Amino acid sequence: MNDLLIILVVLSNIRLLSTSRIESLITWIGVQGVLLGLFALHARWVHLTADVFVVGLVALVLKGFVFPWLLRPVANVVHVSQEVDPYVGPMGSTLLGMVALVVSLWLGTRLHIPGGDMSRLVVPATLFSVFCGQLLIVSRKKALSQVVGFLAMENGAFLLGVGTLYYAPFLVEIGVLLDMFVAVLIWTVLIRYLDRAFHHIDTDQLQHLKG
Amino acid sequence: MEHGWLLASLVVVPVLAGLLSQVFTSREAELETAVGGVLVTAGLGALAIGKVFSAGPLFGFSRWLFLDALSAYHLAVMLVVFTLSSLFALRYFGEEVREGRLTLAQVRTFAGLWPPALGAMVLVVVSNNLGIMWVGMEATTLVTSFLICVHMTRGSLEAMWKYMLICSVGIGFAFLGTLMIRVAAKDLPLDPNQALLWTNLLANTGALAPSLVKAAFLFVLVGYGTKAGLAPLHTWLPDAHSKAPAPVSAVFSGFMLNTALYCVLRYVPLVEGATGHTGWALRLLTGFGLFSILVAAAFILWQHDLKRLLAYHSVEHLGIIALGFGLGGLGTFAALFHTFNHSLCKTLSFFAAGRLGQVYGTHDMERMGGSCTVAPVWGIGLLGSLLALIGMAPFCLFMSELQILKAAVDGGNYAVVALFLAGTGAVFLGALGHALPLALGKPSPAVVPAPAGGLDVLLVAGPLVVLLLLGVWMPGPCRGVLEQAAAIVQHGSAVLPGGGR
Repeated sequence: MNDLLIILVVLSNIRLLSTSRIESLITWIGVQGVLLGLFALHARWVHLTADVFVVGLVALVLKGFVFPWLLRPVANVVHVSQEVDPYVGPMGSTLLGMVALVVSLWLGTRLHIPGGDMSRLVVPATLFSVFCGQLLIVSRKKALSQVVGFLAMENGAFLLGVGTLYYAPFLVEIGVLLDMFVAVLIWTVLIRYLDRAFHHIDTDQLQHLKG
Repeated sequence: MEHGWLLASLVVVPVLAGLLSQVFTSREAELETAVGGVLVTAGLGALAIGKVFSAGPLFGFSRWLFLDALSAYHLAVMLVVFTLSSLFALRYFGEEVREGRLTLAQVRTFAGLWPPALGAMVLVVVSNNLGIMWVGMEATTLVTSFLICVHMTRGSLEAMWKYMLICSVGIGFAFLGTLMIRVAAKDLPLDPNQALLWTNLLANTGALAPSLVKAAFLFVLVGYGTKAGLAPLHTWLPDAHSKAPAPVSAVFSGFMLNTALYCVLRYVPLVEGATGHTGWALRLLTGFGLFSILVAAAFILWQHDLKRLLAYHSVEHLGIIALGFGLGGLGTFAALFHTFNHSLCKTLSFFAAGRLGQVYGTHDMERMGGSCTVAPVWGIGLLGSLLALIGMAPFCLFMSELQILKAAVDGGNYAVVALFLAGTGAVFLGALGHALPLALGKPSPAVVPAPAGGLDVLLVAGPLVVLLLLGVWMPGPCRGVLEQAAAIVQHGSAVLPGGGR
């Protein structure tokens, strides 16, 4: 079951790479959040204590529902529905993603993790998520796509934490989720400001400061 | 436990001050509450620092919070920078409030975020838990992001966007590194609640898997290095420093960068211990340091904007500090010394740049000539701090750079010596070419000379005197503090006064 959830997370990343519609990006980052929340609860099921349960539930609600719910209205307000002219299109991104997946699987075999009690897919899936997030950030021009890329990258880190450790201190995990929540709030405000000041959210045109 | 509350108060008091400032409806009262919160925190911090250097490290809350010589030293530098910047903020924003150029909402943004920014940075240095340290570091990005656009312009919004995106992504890498260290310690017989504590990891470095620790350090170095402005990860820095209001730029450059480098420093003894003291982590720091110096030199030579010039000086000096740590031995001591010198000097230079920017209405250096005639106090402040920044004797920055150079020569690293001299030499010539016309050139007749008050004189003379004094004489207690902090970077534990460990 854990492996299945990890594979679904990997597939959701490929889906993110293969779309240029903002609405679709937001939907799929939400789906990925739900998968990760379920993974957090299931992977630690035998060790489930109250605080571990709360962390899993908060992650599921925030990543799966709250973040998309915050981002979707922004896309409507700034009237952006599609990545029109990305540096690397959906087809190119998907192909790069396939190569990255193979490299991640290879790297996963090279990095020895103590304790044989975890899925061998966690490390490759983490590396792949980080790559996909990075690729979205550098290959897309709309600010919203880049925020989704950032969330995908963070999801990779979350996967590593949950997948390799049955227990991480409650305060640390909640602190990390709180930081993410505040970060998404700031992005939503900032993107609205950018749109108001520049009448677009194309980050490639934010080039007034140079040298 | 009382120490726990003392350490916690250093985080809680500034956050409460930020909240309290929001209840006022007068712009002056909001500013004064924020500054008051910083001053109270500074008092509490001085108390804690005094305890550390007289009686040893403080611990609290099941050892999750701690203050040892290394963190106490960084806390001291931070409090000096924040206290000075807060006093300057009264002057800087007070001027704009008087001229009616700052609305209540803008003052509220600043007053609400300024003390919590201090709280977030304090949380980083008092955390023994590497996870909480990360949370604090990310919080500094979040809290300070809106401080960049107190004056909301297209430029400041663009700077804030780049700052948020680049630093958040960078810090994301650092989180991966933090998790990897935790995974490397997975088999240790530690209570899970205590497994991410730096002191526990340090006591068990021999049992950490070296390959995983190395991978963790790479992520941590790239992650926190982005926030520290090490080249080539510095791209957000000149924009954010130049577009933020001067007191905010001073804190960014004066301490926020050092906070990030402090996080890297905490990992150095862990990595060196786990990899058998091969110097692997130190070589990486040396490489990043040298590259930062050279990249900064190239940009300083052709710079036109005063605040961007200072921002590239930050890249250069953080590079020098990283290089010092990378060289080890005397280099570690010198790097810590340079940390204070640079922070104080850069704080002064951003004050002067900010105030002169208000007087001239621009930061374009070609239009800012003759500052010593137009506003003598701040003009002298800018000239003095620029001369110190480029490593002119007898300022203390010259002394610490000389010690770093000596560490490189002693270690036989002649390639490092050559590159260091080439970089700092280019900076010296380039920045001197900017500094002299700025100070002594002919001012435009349209610029109205600005009078200076007692606070202005104090804010310029105080740091300049200290920079000069430390250059010619270092008091014994200061040397002791630096030696204790350096011992932690090198060996993980401080040499206590009295010779014990």
